[in-house]
Amino acid sequence: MLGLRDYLQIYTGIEIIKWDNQEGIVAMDSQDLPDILAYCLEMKPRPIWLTHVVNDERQLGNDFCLYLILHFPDKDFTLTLVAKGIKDEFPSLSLILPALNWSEREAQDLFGLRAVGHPDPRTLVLHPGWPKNFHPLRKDYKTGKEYKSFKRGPLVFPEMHGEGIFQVPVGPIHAGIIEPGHFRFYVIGEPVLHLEAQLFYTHKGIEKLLEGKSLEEGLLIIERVCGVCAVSHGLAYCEAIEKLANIELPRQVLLWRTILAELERVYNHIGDIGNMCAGVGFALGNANGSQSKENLQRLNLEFFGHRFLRGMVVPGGIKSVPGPKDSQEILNRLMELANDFEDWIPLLLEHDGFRQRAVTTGVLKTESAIDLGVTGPAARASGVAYDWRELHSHLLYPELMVKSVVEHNGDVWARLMVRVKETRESFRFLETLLRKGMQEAGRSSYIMNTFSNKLIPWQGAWGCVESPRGTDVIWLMLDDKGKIYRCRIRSASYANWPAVPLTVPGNIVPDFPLINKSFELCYSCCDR
Amino acid sequence: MDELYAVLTRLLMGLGHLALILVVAPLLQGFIKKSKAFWQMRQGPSILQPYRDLRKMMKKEELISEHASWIFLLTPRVAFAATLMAALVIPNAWGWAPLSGWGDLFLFGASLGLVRLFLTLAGLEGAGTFGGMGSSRELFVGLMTEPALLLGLIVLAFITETTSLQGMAASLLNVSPIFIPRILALITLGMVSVAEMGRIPMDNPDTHLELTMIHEGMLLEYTGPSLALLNFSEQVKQLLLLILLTQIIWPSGLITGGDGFLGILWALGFAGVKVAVLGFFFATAESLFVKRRLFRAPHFLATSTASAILALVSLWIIRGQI
Repeated sequence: MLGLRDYLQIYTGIEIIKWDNQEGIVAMDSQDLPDILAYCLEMKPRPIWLTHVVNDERQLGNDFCLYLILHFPDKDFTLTLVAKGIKDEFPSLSLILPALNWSEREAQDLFGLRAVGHPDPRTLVLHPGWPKNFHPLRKDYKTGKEYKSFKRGPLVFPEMHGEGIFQVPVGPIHAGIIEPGHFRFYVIGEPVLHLEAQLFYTHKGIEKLLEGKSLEEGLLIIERVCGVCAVSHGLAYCEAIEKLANIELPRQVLLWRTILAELERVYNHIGDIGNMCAGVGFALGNANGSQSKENLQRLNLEFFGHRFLRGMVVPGGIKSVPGPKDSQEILNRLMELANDFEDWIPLLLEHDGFRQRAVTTGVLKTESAIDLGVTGPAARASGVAYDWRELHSHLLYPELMVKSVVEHNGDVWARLMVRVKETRESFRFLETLLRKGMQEAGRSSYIMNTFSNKLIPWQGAWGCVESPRGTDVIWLMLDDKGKIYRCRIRSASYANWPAVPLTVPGNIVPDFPLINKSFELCYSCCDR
Repeated sequence: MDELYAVLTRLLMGLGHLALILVVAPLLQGFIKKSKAFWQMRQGPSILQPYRDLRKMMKKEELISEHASWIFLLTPRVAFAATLMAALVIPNAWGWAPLSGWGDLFLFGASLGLVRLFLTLAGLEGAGTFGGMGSSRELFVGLMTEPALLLGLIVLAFITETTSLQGMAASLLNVSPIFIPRILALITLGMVSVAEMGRIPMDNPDTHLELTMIHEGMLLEYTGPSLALLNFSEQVKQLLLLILLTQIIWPSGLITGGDGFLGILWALGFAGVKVAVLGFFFATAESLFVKRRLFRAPHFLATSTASAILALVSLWIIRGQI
């Protein structure tokens, strides 16, 4: 990392705010960003994009600021590139790192800044119809009656001409009970030539809502950003807070947080596997998946008080820790469910018809996965060995020696196999962790109330957790009253959605539901 | 006077035949749903739910797309009437069909073809994309099911030397159940029935994924009474196909008045059990298989056609002539 540091110093106007073994924060002029980013991306192994935050710091005299966080996997080093003093435009980085495409378009919509040189400057979050000066994330924008100024306009899609080419519009209201998204297929007969996805129908302005909230209120909101990754979101948020307060956590807290994260992974993965069966009309597999998921969620409810495990992780601790007796009971039940999983999963894995549908369907190329910053099972199925649990030492993951589960074909089958293998791994981790938990019995709850005076204001901090869908990143800045000044949620779904339309061309229209289900992305935490 | 009496009896019996089929069709649907729920370890809806659904839809308001023409409203009626037409030639529990004469099997095939024609036209009516996709897929599948269905029935006609479905059921009683051409024809008709009923692996009747729909896609624009009629005719068609199959596997011969009331009940029970067993079989198959990729559908249907051709060839070899 010293080489990088030396390189950075050749730029004038660079300010190294922090540089230690784990973390570097470097401020620079926004015009230097493209060069520096390009240099970073040339490094081997290639750094991973974590998040891209635009922040309105005009009241601090910094104008708009841009934070770009990269992670260098071999050194477990995180570099935050800060560009301060952005007035109304910043150089677009999308051509250097295509993963930033959506983030930059979002910044254009919500902050009214212009990404100069962006290849696709259409609006993203705000659908056509909002007035020109509507930029809700600017601090001087007061929320209230904004819906009154919305006049619905037509969506903008690229045109395609040729004999026999049709556009098939699907959604945002679907025949089933699923979240809203509009998909525009360009087809010749059944084969798909191109797919455009228009999301953000469930944009709720959560990042705006969080501003000015206390940390406790913030946690409640963050846990409800979506319905399936409550632990991951909450945990990432708490990690960010703990980083700002600079507190060390007791081992028991880390242990139980790891258990909760793995419980969430298990129930999600099994539910997602079942859902993939629904995509091909395999009722038996779907029924088994739903049943196992239900059992796991009931276990969550019984021992942790919530089916989605909400409310367990709190800043600085964990709300309640089951005693040794309960831990034993959880362990027994989990092992039973793991056996049950092994009982029914061959039904799927050895099913000719299912294989035929899944193999070679919806291929995500390795290069696309890397360029677009795809994370989670989707990336690992395309040969990208990237699992935040392995790359970054946090919680008890170093003790568990997590290895990324990698498949190479990038098709629906590969994504299924990654989930199946990870489920098995997670059951194994849970067993180890629960046994540790019983041996190292501690208190029944760990709630810290004394850190609020230690919180550093006006400093950005990130928290990052591997959710079942990929890496969730939450970036947090507090004001001097200890309230949230800016909280950016980059969920795994947000990172992965742009990759979905790439996998569809070449497949036939009826395969899309299966491809979509193999990613199993969340609309709610993507749209926020 | 006697002649009038005979005509009246025949008319009444015919109406009874239709009434029985109409009453039982939703029950079969409910039973198949229940069987599938059994495999999925669920309780499932009540076996009577299809009746309630039909009643509910009959009462609902009907919405018609502004792009639709008269075909849109005519289709449900034509589909229902054509299905009833097909019902007239299917031998019932007593081995009797109201219409039995020459060319029954073509009447059956043509009635189903008429339903398909109007449905595919109606799919285009709503000017929605899913209807169009459903129609094009339905024609693609129909292109391969119709010849196979007719060919399968024609083989049976050659075996029994009659083109009347009632006659076939009666004559099949005297044909060995393991007579090779008969088994091959049965395989053909079984596979075609799966496609005709819109079941897995060809289509998925329970799907909510509009992009994968075939039959449901064409009905997507329908609401209220029209949807009820279309669903009802689909249920009737399903019952007809199952009755036809059971009559080929294990025919009930024509029972005469001499068997009395008990004989009638026994025949009814026997037919009911046969249809239920076959329905359970299809429900099981549907639970175990997955929906095939659309462009693999021809493989499935080609197998059924090939089986029909083999039946014909084997019949020729066994009999030395056709």
